Amino acid sequence: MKKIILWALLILIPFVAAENLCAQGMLGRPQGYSRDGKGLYTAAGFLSIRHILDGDRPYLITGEIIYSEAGYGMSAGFEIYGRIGFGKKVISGPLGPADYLISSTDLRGDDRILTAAGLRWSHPINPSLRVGLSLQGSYYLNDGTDEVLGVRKDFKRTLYEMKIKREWSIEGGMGIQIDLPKGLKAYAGPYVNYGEGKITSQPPIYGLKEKIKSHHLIGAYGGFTLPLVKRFALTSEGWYTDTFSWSCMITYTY
Amino acid sequence: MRKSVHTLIFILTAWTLSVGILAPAYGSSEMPSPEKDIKVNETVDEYGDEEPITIYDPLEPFNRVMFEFNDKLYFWVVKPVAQGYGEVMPEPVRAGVNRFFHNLSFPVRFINCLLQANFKGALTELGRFSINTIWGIGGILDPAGNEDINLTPYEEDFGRTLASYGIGHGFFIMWPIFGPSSLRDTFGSLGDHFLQPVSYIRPWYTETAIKGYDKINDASLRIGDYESLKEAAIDAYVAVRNAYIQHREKRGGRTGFIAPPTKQKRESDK
Repeated sequence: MKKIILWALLILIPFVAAENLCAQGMLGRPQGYSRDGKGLYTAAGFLSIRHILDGDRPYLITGEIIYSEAGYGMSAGFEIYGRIGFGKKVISGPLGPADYLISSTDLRGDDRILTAAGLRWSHPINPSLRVGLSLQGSYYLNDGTDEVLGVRKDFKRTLYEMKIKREWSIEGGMGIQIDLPKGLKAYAGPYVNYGEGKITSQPPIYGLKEKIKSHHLIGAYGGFTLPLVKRFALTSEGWYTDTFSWSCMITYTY
Repeated sequence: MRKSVHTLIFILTAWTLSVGILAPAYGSSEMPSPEKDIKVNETVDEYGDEEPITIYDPLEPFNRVMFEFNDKLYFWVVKPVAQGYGEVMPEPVRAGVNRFFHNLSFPVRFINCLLQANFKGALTELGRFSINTIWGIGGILDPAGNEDINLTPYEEDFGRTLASYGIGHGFFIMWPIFGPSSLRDTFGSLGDHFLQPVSYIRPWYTETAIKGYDKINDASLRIGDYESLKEAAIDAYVAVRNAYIQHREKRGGRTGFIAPPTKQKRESDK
């Protein structure tokens, strides 16, 4: 019974405490994914991002990214990992609606390359419960570029070439993990993050604030890992605020 | 340059083909003498309990010259470069590179399995490629070959496909640089060339450099094999010829991916 209550609390806390997040990929379960805490694992995953960054006003960021991850479990509960992903990211809001604009005012960046590296550490409290810390840094290797079309002097033309540059973020989470029957592992916890980016326009747009940064710094995350066939396992993780980000990945443990 | 290389390969192939076909015609109308035009019945079966594997070798004088050339190329260029490379690059990295290139040549194995109506093999190769590309970091690792998944590769190529259609080796050819082959496998190699993704890399010298690196990397994992074979043989040329045919037959027998021996294995063999 105690376990059920604890589990219910773990599920609920993140959804109650959460604020806007700027996650750039899952933190993963505290225990890590390498076999017995040591050795190599690889993963392939999908990330659906939805968060808010502040510029001259709040911008909604959405994106879908597929990624590959590899990690290595070291001694004393530590695990390091690296991730590379490709996908699109859309920033809504840098330009307000105007009569002379005929294309979407969203800044849409295709073929963005996301890189991330992180560290996990966990400590068992008892055989089915453990606490852990995760720290992760993310960076987009390339700029997102988009053109805004409009009508000027009765001609359709590109009015602005906009870019989102140097996007990075750093995230840290503290999670509690509980082992459930059938090999299922669930985890949740509070989460902090800070992210930045820079929006530019050519020609410059009056009033456009170049630097954008995280709207809120504190939130929460939660997820579960389900063993599949052989040494494969599915992990799904979500972050809920007034928007919802979600990621899943299939890991293979060597 | 690329066209000229292809033209050269074509001319050489056509020449060897014509030599192979016409050679008996230059002799008497009787069956050719085994000692002259066709060196036959060089068996590779030590115990005599299997059907002997034979190879014709009407180009032996040419082949022996090419063998000497390749021998010198190996000892003077390939081996020193491979040894130097092996000194600076750890063995796990070289083995990973080896697996990466093996994974990259998936189209050769997949298409040839299909051409042989070997659908199980094609599915296995597709599964191996998918798993190793996604969870094996582009093929650097081989999770599909681990004992729990245990998908063994089907080492099929165009030469083997031609063999499955009942086409024999023809005769033995020792190509300069490329090494031992047969008439059938030479044609097979041309087919394989067009299924290798690396073949489509431009410019041509990048493609050549990548293929050269693959060969040097591979050689660095096999240093000692050729030397052992040569030391043990009375006639190194004949030994290489027989080893080639035996190797091809074994690959045809789907013995699986012939992984390069590890350093420990080589040392324990010594």
